[in-house]
Amino acid sequence: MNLCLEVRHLCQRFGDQQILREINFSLNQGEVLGIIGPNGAGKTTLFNIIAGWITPTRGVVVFWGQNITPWPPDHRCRKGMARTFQIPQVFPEMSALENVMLGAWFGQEPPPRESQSRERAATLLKQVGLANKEGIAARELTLMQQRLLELARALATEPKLLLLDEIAAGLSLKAVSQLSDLILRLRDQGLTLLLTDHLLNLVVPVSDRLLALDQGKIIATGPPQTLIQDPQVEAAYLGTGEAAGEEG
Amino acid sequence: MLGKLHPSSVWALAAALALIIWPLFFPQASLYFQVLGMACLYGTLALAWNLYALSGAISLGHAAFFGLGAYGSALLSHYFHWSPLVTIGLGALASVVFGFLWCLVFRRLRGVYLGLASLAAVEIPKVIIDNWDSLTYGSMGLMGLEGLPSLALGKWEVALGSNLEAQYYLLLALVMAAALATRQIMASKWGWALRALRENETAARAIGIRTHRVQAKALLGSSYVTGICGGLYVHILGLVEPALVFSLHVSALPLIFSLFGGRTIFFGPVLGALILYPLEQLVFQPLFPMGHAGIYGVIIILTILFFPQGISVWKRAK
Amino acid sequence: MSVSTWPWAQIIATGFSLGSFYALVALGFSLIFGITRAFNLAHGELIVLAGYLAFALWKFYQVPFLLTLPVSLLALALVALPLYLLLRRLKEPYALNTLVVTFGLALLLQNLMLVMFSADYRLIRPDFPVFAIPGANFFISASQIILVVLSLLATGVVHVVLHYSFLGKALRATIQDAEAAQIAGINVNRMALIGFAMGGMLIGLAGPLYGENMYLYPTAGTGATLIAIILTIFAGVGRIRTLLLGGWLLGLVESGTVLVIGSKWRELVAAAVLLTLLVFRPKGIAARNQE
Repeated sequence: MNLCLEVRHLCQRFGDQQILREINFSLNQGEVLGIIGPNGAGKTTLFNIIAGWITPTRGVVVFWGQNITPWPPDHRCRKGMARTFQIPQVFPEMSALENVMLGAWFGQEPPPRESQSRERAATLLKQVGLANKEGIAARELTLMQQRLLELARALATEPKLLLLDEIAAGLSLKAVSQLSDLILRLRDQGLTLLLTDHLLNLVVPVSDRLLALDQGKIIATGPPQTLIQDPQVEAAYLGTGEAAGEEG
Repeated sequence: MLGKLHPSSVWALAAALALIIWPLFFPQASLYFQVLGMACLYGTLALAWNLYALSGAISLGHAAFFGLGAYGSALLSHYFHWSPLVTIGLGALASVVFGFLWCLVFRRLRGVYLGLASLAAVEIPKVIIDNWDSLTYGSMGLMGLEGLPSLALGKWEVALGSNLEAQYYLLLALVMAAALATRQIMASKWGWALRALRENETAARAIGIRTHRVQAKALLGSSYVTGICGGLYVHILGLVEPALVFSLHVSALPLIFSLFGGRTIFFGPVLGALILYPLEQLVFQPLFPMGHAGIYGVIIILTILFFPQGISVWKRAK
Repeated sequence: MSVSTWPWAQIIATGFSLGSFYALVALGFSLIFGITRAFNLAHGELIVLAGYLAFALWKFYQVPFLLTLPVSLLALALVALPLYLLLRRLKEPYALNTLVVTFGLALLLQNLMLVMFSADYRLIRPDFPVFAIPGANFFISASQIILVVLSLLATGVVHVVLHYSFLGKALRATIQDAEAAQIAGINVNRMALIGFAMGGMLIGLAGPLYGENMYLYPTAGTGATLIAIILTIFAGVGRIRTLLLGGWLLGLVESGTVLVIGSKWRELVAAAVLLTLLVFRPKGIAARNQE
């Protein structure tokens, strides 16, 4: 089994607040790992550290055996780690096709030609179900469509690891089910995935393994069916964890 | 190489032709040569400003680059007596050095705070030059600067310094070259990176664009061309002083022309310059001999209020 | 000249009075920015305009200087109204758009004042006594005293309003988080209007004081705007005591600097201070109010 991602001794401190304490876990190639936890547990911070947007106070992030901790986000993308954002970050004035094309054109090493990027973009849009929105400006799309657009764009960078940040947040049950199918298909194509989810409706059906976070620590890890019955996880979601979930 | 012809490009081509051949119908129009020539110079300046603006950065302090290029050229010309064509090119390097410092110091600034920093940054070269009397003659400035040289091509001699018509064609050629270069840039891969950076910096970084490098290239290119404009300006005028080249006016004009004409199309800034500058000089100056530059303030306010994308986009949308 | 021969008393006195005035200058800007997130680059020009108004009243209508103050106060509060209406119409990106629009306004005002009053330097020179302090080797003029008293008074009034009145509570809520304030039932638009009116009054107070202590000329506003921005970024929004403190610090640094290296470097010092602040706080004050 190849080790895609390793996180060792990760700690994060903001001012006098300890956000993450001693996070250790690893992700195998082809696995789907879901990170769950109530608001304020530190999921977003952990996610942003892995994606390169925050430099950890202590600890390392290892990607395919390389220590990538000092790497900025754009470098990580070119080396095969793509991500999506909870609030979709699209290029508003560009068409859906152009959005995805840029992912292909800039996100790979070595970079393809413009025409190849365009073709790839068209294919990916079809894959996520946005083929009929090719020429529409991204700011005209609905939330779900923008999430799918971001997903297509992330895929266009030909990633080895895909990070999905709360991709199901605010979506209808039907949309979440659509997403689940899409993610499982991506997994079957050989992609490794890391998802965060605040509610559990997405991670449970798609993940091989879950990691439960509370107050910056890993409180449990294991397959979804076992984890959601874990009393500690229940307590974190329903007990003091939730009430204190004022701010993350 | 020229690519597909967009309807707006056809208009641009037609306008360019008009600008080239009108003197055949109005010879001896020295005032118009002067005004349109300057308008072309400002058009180039606006294009240079806009290059940086394409990356999403609104600079309120481009006068720093203009003034450094102006003084760079003026001082080289004064002390070494090299031809202005040489000193202008070399003098603009001072602007690039400042641009480089700017990249380092303003690395994490965005939006409003970048604008403010750029506004404040003008004071640095301005006050230093103003006070370094021994080198720059301080606030007195330099007078009697050598004008543009005469170019000789075989039998033909063109006195760029004294012949207003020749000067006009030089400046026209410059702005056309700058406009074409801008067009090429915008269609290139780097141009797409600039656009991505402008529309959403986070997304640009997330898909692998080296945003800092992309923006730095834009700033350095912008500062160099702005410096060239500064150098040309003072050699045409024949004098340089801090209040002239480091003024708020110089910082404001390229911004106004670009916003008015349209930032996202290659000829937008030039359109703005060619419409507004002659308007201000030929219509407003006679009406208000003292405060005519105030019209620019009105224009910028109206532009942001009613057509924030610039008139070229506004026209196309109709 | 060595440190021991510096006229310390003079530096401190000048720094203190100048600094109090700087705080007044910055307060109007800070309030408007805090409540509406509008960056008014024409702030200094409005102060100079108010100064010219007071000058015209004093010189041509023989209005005693102290009486020009209430007139100017009222006039600028009224001027603030159309400014509020203008800035309200701007769309995203709001802060940047207000920056550019007020940049244009500053350009317009500078030229208007050039036409109306010419480029000559003007000064309001009322017949105020100058007091010599027995023992120490320096003078305090009545103008300086008025400057300090009025600046501190105005600052104090604003502080009291913000912290001890119901309106002030609503204003502070809007400053901290306009969205949340709106959800809580506060009429944010009315708060904005009040903010502009208060800002206008503070500008109206600062103008005549400016014209009485420093020379008025059309481009004098840029220096004042720079001061306002520096202190607002330094102190953070709505923190009046820190603003005052910052003003005094800046005033002291400036009067010290002027003494040592001459007044020609003033603009550079101010610019360098602003740049340092911006570099170490790249998001300025806004970051504190966002997630």
